[in-house]
Amino acid sequence: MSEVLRSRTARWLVPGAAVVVITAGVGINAAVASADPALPARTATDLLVSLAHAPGQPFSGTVAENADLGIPALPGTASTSLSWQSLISGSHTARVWYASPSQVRVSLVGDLAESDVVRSGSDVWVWSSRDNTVSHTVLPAGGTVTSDATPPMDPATAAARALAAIDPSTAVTVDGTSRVAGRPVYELVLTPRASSSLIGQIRLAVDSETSVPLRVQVIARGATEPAFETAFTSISFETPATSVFAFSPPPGAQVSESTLPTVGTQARSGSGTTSATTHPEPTVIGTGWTSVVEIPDAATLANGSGSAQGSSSATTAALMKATTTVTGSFGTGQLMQTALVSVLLLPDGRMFVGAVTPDLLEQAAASAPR
Amino acid sequence: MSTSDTAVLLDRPASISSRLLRSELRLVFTRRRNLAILAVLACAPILLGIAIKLGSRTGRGGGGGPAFIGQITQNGLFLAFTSLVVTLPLFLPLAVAVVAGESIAGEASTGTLRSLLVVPVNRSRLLAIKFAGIVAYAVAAAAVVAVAGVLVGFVLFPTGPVTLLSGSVVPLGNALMRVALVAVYVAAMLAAVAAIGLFVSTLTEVPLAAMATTAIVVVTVEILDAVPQIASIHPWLFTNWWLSFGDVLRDPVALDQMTRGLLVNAAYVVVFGALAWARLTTRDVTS
Repeated sequence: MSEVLRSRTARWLVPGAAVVVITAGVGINAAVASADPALPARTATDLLVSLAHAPGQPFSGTVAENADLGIPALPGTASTSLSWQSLISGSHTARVWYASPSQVRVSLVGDLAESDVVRSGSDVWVWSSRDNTVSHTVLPAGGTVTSDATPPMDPATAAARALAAIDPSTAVTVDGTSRVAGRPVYELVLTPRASSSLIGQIRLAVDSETSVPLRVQVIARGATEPAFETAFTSISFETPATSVFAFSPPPGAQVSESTLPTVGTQARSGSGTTSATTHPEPTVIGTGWTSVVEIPDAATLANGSGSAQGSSSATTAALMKATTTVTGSFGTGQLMQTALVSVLLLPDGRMFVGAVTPDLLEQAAASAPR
Repeated sequence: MSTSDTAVLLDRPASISSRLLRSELRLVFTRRRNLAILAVLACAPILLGIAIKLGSRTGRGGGGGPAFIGQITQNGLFLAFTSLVVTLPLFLPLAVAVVAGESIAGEASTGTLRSLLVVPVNRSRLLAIKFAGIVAYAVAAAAVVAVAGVLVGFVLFPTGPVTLLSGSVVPLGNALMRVALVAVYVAAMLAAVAAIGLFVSTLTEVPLAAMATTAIVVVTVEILDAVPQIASIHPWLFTNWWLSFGDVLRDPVALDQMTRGLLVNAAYVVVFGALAWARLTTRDVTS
């Protein structure tokens, strides 16, 4: 009897063992992937220099982006939504191919949908599988238009922009090593010195071999978890096949053409171009981390793009609910504060935006000429 | 059953197993209820196709609805994908749950399990054969939806080269290959439901209870998968990977998600298969 009992117990141990083996396998895998590799020490400047040379390196891979800016849930920004604007909240996955500055493709991947931005030579294609729309922009010949209009989905672009912001107001340090997408990396940390900046740290994970930034984290002042993070989950440094960058509008798709390089890749069905040309240019107040952008005609700008996106007015309404009313020498305004960005909207239509504390934003608004 | 009896009879276990597998497949695919479920599954693409056809005539085709619904009017092949998207959350798992719930509990309730165990095939092998029968049914169910979707799509809508999610266009033959791949992936995902159903079926002698429990487990996991507050556990839920089959329709095909989906579902098959095995081989079969 006891023998039977023992064998019966033993049999029930098998599924238990299966669970243990599977979880242990997953755990060991994760432990190996997160173990800090031993790498020769490098200085911050050294890393910065090699970062600047990284753009020559072709790569392809999968990127996971996660934004937790403390923005209220916006209509159409669920992770299933695939508009490029939806990148400001929630988690997204993208596939990235980079052969040279003129051969780039970013595919925003959703459940059973995809949005692509493909640059091939002077052609920039923006494709949305859900809307079945293509927008084609021809860049001027010889012009090196950097795609500032595309969101910094791929870590290389995001890092380049972070580096452009470096000036004496930034402390740059190397904070050990780590692993991203299975590759050993150096952690480069940029810390703004100005206490009125909302950004506490920007952490770049720089690949030890190719110096390609594999992860960018933006951590709000006083926070420990990143408010914005984009990182490769897998990466290959082989040159992607040219067929990846070949794009021609599929039959039946609604195609909009544009040759205006200033609007860049965000021109959508024509209306984007009108709103950009008829409004006064934004001005920048201050320098470095504490610069504040003044957008003179924000209200009309929002209305103008509303016709292009449809859901924009609903988005504006949802955003307005999250604002608080503030008063000062600038009058009365609506203030919205997120983890990384403060926004002040004045009744005369002016909008002030900056990665700064609300106090500094109100000062900027008070000192700005009408 | 004493071990000496089986030792005498186990001279040709392989042929006995294959005979038992054949009879199990015959049992699964001739049961009227199972065939009726397959017929109902085949109706899904038909209803969907007719609804979209009528909708496009009255000009209410655009906007909202399940994925690919806008593409169907341009290419009938997408009806197969939409049908799989629509049937995957409930109908397909329900069909598998019915067959899986029946597998052991059904035999136990009609008293045939005992006689089945007299056949010189040990319980482990009997379980493997039962599992194979359920998986075969899952493959058939996914294939029925896909094939019906393709056929109805071809009858009602234009066909030709297919636009993938990435915007590139592939010839029809290539696209049909992709439909087949998607059906295989869907069947593989349903194997986890099969394993869970098989385990539940070993716990009871009431087949209906086993079917209901299996269906409830699947729906519960799907609900958990939809709760954003527990997003950290979502990658470990088997339903989380079901719709990853869309990656077949990208150019180049993305394999990361589907590979993870197959691994996670394989883990469920191993664990629940082992549970079913532990239960059946230690159980006193009295009926």
